[in-house]
Amino acid sequence: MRRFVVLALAVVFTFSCYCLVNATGMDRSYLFSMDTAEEARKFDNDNTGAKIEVSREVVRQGSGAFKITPSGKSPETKIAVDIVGDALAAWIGNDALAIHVFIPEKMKAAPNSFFLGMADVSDGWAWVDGVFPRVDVKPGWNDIVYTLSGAMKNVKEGGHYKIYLSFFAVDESNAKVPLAEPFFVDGIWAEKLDGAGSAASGAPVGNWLWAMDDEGELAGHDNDNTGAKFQPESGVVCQGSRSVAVIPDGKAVETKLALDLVGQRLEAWIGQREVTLNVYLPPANKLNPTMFFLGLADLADGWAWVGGVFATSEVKPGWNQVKYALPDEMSNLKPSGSYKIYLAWAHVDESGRKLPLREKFFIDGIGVASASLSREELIRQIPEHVKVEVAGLLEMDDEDLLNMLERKTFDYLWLEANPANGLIRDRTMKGSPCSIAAVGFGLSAIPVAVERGWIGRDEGYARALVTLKTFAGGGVEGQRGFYYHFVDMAEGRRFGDSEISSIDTALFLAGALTAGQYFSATDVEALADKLFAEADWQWMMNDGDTLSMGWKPEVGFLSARWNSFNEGLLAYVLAVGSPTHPIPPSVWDSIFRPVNENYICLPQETLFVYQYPAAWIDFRNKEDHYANYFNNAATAARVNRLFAVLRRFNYSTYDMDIWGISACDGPAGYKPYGASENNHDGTVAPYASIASMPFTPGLSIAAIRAMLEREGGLVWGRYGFVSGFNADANWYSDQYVGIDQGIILLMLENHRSELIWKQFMAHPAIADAMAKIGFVASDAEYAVTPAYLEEWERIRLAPAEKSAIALRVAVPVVVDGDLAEWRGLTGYLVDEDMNVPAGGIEKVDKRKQVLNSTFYVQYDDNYLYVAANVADEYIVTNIRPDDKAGFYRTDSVEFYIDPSRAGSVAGIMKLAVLPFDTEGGVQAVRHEDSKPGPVAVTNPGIRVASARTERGYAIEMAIPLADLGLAARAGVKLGFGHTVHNSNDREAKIGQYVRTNVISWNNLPEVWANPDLWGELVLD
Amino acid sequence: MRRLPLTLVCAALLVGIMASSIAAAPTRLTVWAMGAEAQKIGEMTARFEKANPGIRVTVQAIPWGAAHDKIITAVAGGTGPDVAQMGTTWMAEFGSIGVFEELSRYISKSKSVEKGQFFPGSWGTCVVAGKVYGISWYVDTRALFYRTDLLAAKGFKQAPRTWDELRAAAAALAVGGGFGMALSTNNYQEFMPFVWQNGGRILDEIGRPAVTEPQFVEALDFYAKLFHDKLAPIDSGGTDLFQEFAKGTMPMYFSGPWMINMTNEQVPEIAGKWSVAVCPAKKTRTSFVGGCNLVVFRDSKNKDAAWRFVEFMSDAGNQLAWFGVSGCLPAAKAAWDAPELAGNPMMAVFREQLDDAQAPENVPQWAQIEAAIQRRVQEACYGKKTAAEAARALEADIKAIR
Repeated sequence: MRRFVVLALAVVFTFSCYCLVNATGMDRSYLFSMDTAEEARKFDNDNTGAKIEVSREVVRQGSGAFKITPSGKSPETKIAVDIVGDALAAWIGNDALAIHVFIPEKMKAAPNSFFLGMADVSDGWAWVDGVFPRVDVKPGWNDIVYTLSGAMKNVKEGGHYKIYLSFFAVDESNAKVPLAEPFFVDGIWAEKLDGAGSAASGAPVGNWLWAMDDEGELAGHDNDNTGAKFQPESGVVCQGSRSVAVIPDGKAVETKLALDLVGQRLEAWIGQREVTLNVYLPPANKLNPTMFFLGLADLADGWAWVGGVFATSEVKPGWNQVKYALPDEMSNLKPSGSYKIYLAWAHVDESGRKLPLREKFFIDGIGVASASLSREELIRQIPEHVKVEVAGLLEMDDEDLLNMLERKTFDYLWLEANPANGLIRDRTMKGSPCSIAAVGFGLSAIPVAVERGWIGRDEGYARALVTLKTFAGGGVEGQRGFYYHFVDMAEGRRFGDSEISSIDTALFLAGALTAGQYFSATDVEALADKLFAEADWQWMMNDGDTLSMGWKPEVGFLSARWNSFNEGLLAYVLAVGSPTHPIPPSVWDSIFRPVNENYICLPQETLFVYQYPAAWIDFRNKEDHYANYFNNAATAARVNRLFAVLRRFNYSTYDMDIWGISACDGPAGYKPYGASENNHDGTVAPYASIASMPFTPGLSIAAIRAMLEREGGLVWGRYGFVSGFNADANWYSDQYVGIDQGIILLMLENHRSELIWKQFMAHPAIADAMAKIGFVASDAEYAVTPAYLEEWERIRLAPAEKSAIALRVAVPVVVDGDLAEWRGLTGYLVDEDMNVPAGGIEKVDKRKQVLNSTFYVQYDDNYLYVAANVADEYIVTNIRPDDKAGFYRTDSVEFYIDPSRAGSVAGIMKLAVLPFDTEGGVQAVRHEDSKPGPVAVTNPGIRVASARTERGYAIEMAIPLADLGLAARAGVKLGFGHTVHNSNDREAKIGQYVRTNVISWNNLPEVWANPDLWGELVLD
Repeated sequence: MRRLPLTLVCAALLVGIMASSIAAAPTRLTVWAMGAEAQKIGEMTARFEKANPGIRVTVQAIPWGAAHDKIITAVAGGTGPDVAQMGTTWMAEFGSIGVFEELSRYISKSKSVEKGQFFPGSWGTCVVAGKVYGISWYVDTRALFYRTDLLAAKGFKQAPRTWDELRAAAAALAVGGGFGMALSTNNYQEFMPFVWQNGGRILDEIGRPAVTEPQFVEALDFYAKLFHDKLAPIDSGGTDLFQEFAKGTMPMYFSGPWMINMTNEQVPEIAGKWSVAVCPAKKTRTSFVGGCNLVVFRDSKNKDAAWRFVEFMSDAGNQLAWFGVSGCLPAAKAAWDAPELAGNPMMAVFREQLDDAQAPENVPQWAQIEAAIQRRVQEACYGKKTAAEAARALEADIKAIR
């Protein structure tokens, strides 16, 4: 399915990248050569119990190797080591980390999965990123190469990091089996990958005029009297083997490098539109260049200024690609001429003054390219026939317009197929494999084309037959009736390391059954039913409650399941309806269905998810226990549109009628975009609005017209609409994607003739499945059934149903911040998942952050005691002792107590506790409750203490029961809540509002203002 | 001849049936009320139901934090209310995309609702691109809170009435280590009145940025200099304004009527030593007006009943009653003649201020413009840009917002 497209393509690239520059290892320099006990002491096992010792049993290089003896209990075996100083210097500029691993011949469970994680420990502990390498290990020595992610490459100079190398074994069921027998690691080194693309990101510039690898390259250079010096450098490299350090003289307001542009370089320059300079700006520099200027002079006859251009690229510390757009006069040079280019750098401050640069920075590579064209130029390049076609479309009435759009869209599914086997290309990219999902769409498209007269019935029948024969005859790799997501177009063999995919097989089968019904009582129908019968859905359940997403020979079943509301619904209808391997209809109820107010949602709001099942299943006028899924998809489509419309002033792509945020190609590659924060960048997928046609016909027609009207030939071509565009980035895909074309065609046809619905629903197994699942006729207008809405409300409010118990203690608790006397008590966890939804608040990013709190409650004759043990990797202390307002601005906790539930009239008490003010003292105030103010004033009997702990901080508090109007009596029930406010802002100004996260025991919106949402506290 | 009576009988019967069916099934009206208003509006809906026996009102309490998203899903799913309370700054955002019913045809037929009955600034928030999408329900505005005793000690017998006096008073009050006033570097609601007082504006008649006009630049310059000259604290985040006001370290500030009771409660020790005054003038004494309007959702199936509710709530007498229930200030001018408002000297100041109070340009891209204003004003306050530079940067920002 879609989510795997990225993975699969990434694999293709990775294959080509695995040619290590230093493949022989002859002159390899190791970060850790793993020869001495002293070195071994630098490593720890990250609490996995593994033993790390130097051994000479097997050695790959040097005098020894590390023998790693796993604990036999831990699911992962790890070794961890700091990357700092020399190791960090060696890390910088590389693309990959690699290790030699020796796997003994006779291991019962040998490591077959590997992971490299990285944390920034410069200041506290913060997760950076982690990568899984391609794995294919054999007994003996193996090199494991971990391709570093952008975040792992973009490390701070002078920083302090820690890497975690994890080794584990995964069995067929994808479960981790603890390793028990020793294996060996000998040597960790960093590598550049050949052709991996530069760290500066983006496509590598094809043509380096100056690669800056060889001193001779800069022959004839000068500094244009700016005093700057230039030195070859091998520590910081973007491409090739070296870079050039630019060393300003600290006085000149501009630092310059002048280079001769003659001969071959000049020839390569002429006619190009863009110059790229790779620049590394050390993060530690006080002043880095912010102005980048490129000038050009003609030296043919003395010296004459030609022109200059400022780069508009935004730069940040680290590697940057600075791009200069060449004006005509700087591009159209005489091939026989002699020119000089001037690269000038300066730091420009806020008031526009230029400040002399003092610190060195690095440049590595000056290249030229034919540049990204402006919108006007792109429009000028649109072929005349396309312009005419678009103009014609805009003049058509709706019916003709849709007909034409369907026709063009169909062409993809017909022409991008291999006629010999029926396999259809995933996308129009050269070398693209077949996507079996696209084949499913293509099979469904055949009846459309026959009915509309675009192909003959015989022609359509023949193609359907060939396709189904290919699958039925073993011409597509798979097993148990499921097929690989991507297979090669010619032979149908597994492509890359793609998975045997349950959803993509479902999409294929839906298409097969549609074609089968259309060509009923033919071989096509017989083959379709045969293929349907072959799919072993029971196997795909993998002994769980829901269908697995797929299976790979390397790891067995994928751990991901179709356990939440999404396009997987289609697979369930097929699985329940299977004549041979049906799954029980009750599985349908194992799907988690979150509700957003009035519709069941995919929180990421990737629109295709709502559309795919509805391309085949006619959800109109029927509902199951949960929803009318047709109305549900309609609501989701309108939400998707409103999301874009309300942001039309922030993104120039979005407009009243230009919307549709869903998985598609974008300026930065394929992304599973959706109409949710942090999941969109202004890219619109044309298919998203168009395929909503059955749900939102008026809005969808308007979208088609608006896209054609505003973007015209930029988004329209031989197969209709392209796969994505982004006006802000002036980026227009030139690709067509099979499943995008497929969903457009099927949904338009359903809207016009209901053809796909009619065929698919006519299959007895589908009708049977719908009945078993519990679909009944209903003409209700709602999306979610009232019954499920009620049920969901209970699920949603469950956080408020929580209950904590306070044990009675005989000895008063010492309020000193030391939680020793709380040990052994039941704590109540508020973890990283318990985010309070609120504007301006971000969810805790579990991959990078640690934030949780365990709270405890006790009481005695006089006091209610509360304690919180908060894990927080960085504690912000930016509130002065005399500042008693709004502790939620920064790291702080709150306890909410509602004694009215116990019949007390003392009023609500909301205690806000600041663990450390700028003087290090603890502060507690009552806030927005019945008696606000510092507790010293409002409730002098309250005692509070804080302490720093290894993982964060601890709070301890004693609250007089009398202040709550309560007596110490077992069975008393109070309202109770605990909320943690968090910031990790290391530059927080005094008093500044820096809160980023809010987690709460009762993580409901505005929990602080609604005592009825608080949990319960019972005095035991 | 015999037929006629028969027909009449039938007609009478029909009327009877229809009447009874109306009585049996009252129109059900759903009203969304936000925040604290939701807890209090019941008293008003009860009065409405009493006056309109055929209509039953269900109030749904919507937390402010969830309101924006709830409006979107309601519009998308057709589950919106008939009537909703709407913050003035959301009127254009949702009005421009067809969420609200245009009310002109109801107003033209109404005996009680006409725009002249409301404060003009407040009415302006109901109108988006010439279309009326709501009726003013309640207002708030900002005036000058000041310490009468401290000003008198410096020889100021009354609150500053002009910019010059404001600066002079602030300078005098700041002598001795405190500040002359509290002011925000990043709250456009505090900044915009200065622009309006000087005859400035953000957009011109045809929607082009007008922030490089001298009136705007001059206002920004005046505002920023209050910080440059340390008459106002550059970073007041986290300060307890009540305490500072009581200590005399921030003896003047601009805020709304809600601060009257809060000041009395928080710092009772300065009772009688402070008061409020209309904003000081450059050319005018304009302040900022906010508050809430009532809107009818376009998807409502009970628009006539919805309008009757809005009409009821817009009545000056009912707005006065609502003030009694909630403390929300009436948007209808006539309500202010009642003794509970007219008789309160501080409220009288807000009454006067409301006659000269304005809301920002009611355009759908206001949220983006507002963000740009706050950024550029802050740059000017921190001295990173001169007023003219900040204005030029702001002009570019606004041009970039389509």
